[in-house]
Amino acid sequence: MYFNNTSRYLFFLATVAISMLLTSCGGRQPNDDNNENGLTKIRLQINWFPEHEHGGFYAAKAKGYFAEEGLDVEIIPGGPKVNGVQEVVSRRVDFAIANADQILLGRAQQANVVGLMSPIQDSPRCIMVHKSSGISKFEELKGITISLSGGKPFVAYLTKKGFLQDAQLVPFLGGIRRFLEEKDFAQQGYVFSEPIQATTHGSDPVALMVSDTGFNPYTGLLFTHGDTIRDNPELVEKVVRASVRGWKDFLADPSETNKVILQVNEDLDEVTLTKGVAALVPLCLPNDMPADQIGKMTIERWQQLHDQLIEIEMLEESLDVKNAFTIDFLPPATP
Amino acid sequence: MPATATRTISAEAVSKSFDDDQVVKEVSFTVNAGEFVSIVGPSGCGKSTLLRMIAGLEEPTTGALEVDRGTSESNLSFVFQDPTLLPWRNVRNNVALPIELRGTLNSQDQETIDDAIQRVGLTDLDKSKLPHMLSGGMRMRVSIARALVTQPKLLLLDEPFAAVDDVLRQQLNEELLKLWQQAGCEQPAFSAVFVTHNIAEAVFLSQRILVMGANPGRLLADIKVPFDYPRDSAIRTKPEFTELAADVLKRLRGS
Amino acid sequence: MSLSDCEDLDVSKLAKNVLPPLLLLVAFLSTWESVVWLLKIPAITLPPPSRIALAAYKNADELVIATGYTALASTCGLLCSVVIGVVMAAIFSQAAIIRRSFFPYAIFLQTVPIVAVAPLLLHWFGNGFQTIVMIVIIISLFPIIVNVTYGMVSVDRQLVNLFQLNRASRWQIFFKLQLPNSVPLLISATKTSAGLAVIGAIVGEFFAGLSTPLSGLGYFIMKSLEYKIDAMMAAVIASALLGNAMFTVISFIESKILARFGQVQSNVFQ
Repeated sequence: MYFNNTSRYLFFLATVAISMLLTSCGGRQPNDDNNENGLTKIRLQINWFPEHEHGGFYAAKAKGYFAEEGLDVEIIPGGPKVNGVQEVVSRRVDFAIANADQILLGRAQQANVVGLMSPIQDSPRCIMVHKSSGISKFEELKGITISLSGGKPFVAYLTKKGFLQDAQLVPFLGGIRRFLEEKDFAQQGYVFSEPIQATTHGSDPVALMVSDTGFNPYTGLLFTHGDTIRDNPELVEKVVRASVRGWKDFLADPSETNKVILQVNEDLDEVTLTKGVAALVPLCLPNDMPADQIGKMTIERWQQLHDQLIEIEMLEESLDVKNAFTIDFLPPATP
Repeated sequence: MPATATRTISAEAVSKSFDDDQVVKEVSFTVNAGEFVSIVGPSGCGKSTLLRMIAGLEEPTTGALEVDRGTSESNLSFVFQDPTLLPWRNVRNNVALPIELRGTLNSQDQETIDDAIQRVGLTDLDKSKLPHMLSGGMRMRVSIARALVTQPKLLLLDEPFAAVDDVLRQQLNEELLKLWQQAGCEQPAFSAVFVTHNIAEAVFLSQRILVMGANPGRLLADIKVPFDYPRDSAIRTKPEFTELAADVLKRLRGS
Repeated sequence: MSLSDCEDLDVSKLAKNVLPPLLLLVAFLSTWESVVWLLKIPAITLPPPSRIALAAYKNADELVIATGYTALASTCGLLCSVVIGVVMAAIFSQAAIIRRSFFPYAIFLQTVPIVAVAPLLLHWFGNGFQTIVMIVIIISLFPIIVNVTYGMVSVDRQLVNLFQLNRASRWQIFFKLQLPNSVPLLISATKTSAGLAVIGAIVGEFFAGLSTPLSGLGYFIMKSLEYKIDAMMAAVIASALLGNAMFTVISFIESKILARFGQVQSNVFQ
């Protein structure tokens, strides 16, 4: 009737153990379900609310490229709380989007995630300041308030370089409201997003590109679980092939896909989206990179990122970056 | 009639009701200076309420109750049914409380406090003890010492020995009489009104016994106890004692 | 009782109180470690105890400073709560009408979700130490107010009569009777509030982010949340230990105070 303390503790222990087991098990394998048309159902988790950042994937779906490969891809919107690496590791989704630094840091925590393609070659990460502040370089970030997300690698990098020591740092909570209201305020952002929104609202943003300081991780990568590559390489090849087609399409002419994105994201307005895509293109195809090389990755860039993460102590031990990505599924480079 | 120099308490048709419940009905009596008077009665006869009215803790609903409380220094003191000590203070500081509340303590007060503690039969060693270290009987002694430290003119006691065993009770009865008598003095130290439901105790202690009945609380009889002081335990077995006790019992039963 | 009897008693008491939780801990940790190893659970999902211990060792400097900062914020807030709580209880104890008027708002203090209030306070008052202390006060104040008010109001009626008979002033009744009477309840309420204080400090630091140069466990947990689950769990354990330490210190003070009152510490777990 009345449980003594020992049996109470044991009951608690059993509950904890069972929950641990349940979280680690579960999740589906790919190809578990077929939809009515005989297409294979695939779940793709994007890393934010649907935006031009994910344009190529929405294009692949809207234009039927996935369907042509026999795939019914569900694109699952993300947000601030969603962690794509966790979703893939727990097999709740088959594919997801993340940045290269997230993939390396996930691998350091025994997450077997592998990058497949990187549509955005150069990092859009920026610090947005007011033009009226007169700040044009990172060295000049003094005497202002900057809102940043505490745990992010780029923040650790900027801190290590000494750029943030004369500024007052506050947490980044999303949006641009405070930036619009205060002159001595700066914040983190993506160059094809927040600065464009700020301009639309009549403000005077200037984007300081973090990549200019040397920290330039691949951004918006499509990735999957290492086991999926091992067990089902044909599936991976199909997904990558369709995605590449989608991205080429999107960068050439985003108009149709933009309509789809606007439908799934009610908070996005057409002006921001259109201007955003225009800002996105040079990041996806920098230095006149030909469009059919979309998504390519080099080991030198991965190694450089790895070494930087070690330098800022976000990675505690070395990894073999060869295991973090593969270009086997990308179309061969045109000679 | 107003209280005079020789009359400490004068009660005339005192009644007390709590809402519609009449607890005390038209009680009249007097207590003269230096008298030891007991009030006996069954539960619910309003004796405690009467005592509290004398103390000034309650107001009579009707009737006149005059109490000579003396000067502000030698007030009246009340000994409660429980020792009612402050648990966080030692014996000395508990006894010092009444003096402390009336003003600041000076060195002369220290002597008075020590004297009071000694008079109730506690030692120097006991002074620094905390209440939880004392037995029930010792705590009651501290309570009495505290009541006496202000040298009151009127001492009111509400069944103080109800919770102690018979042997200790009789011993405390004798000690109380000694305190009242003040060996070597002509006048008693104070007037006392002692509430109890133990008839033998009332007979042993008092010069007069006020017998009260219940439903509603009223005065049934005012009985004189003709024995001389000092009284010792031997008196309890004398036939006059037993007869008087039987008489009180008869009155209590209301026949 | 001989000297050897005393020694035996001590050892067996130690064995009785320390061994069972210790053995349970060992059993729990080995089960955890084995499950992770057997099911090949990746560290990003659930790190094994060995990995958490390693992360604690590697981050020891930062964890110690963070714990110190959180301890400082919790202790300051808790002390403020004690002072404010006693003052408010003193006011509440004076009249029933005051208690009736303020009671619903005192309840509000208990039920307000701190994770919703913390960001709001940080927005209004800035991200500094003083706001963290404010959050700690809000979360830890209620038990103290309620218990101390009760302690002041629930004085033995005969004691109050005693004071009244001696014509004690309101101040005297408060300082010599009501206040000392409430001390045991104040201490036991502070024990409860200590745990809440640590929670409040951590929640506050979680949302305050990297603003302060010395940051507490809450910030450490927040920034480790995405990438370093093992370090995060090490910080969680550190916060539990901190709460435990505060509880133990206050318990010790309580035992000394209760001895004065002749009361015994109640402990249902022993």
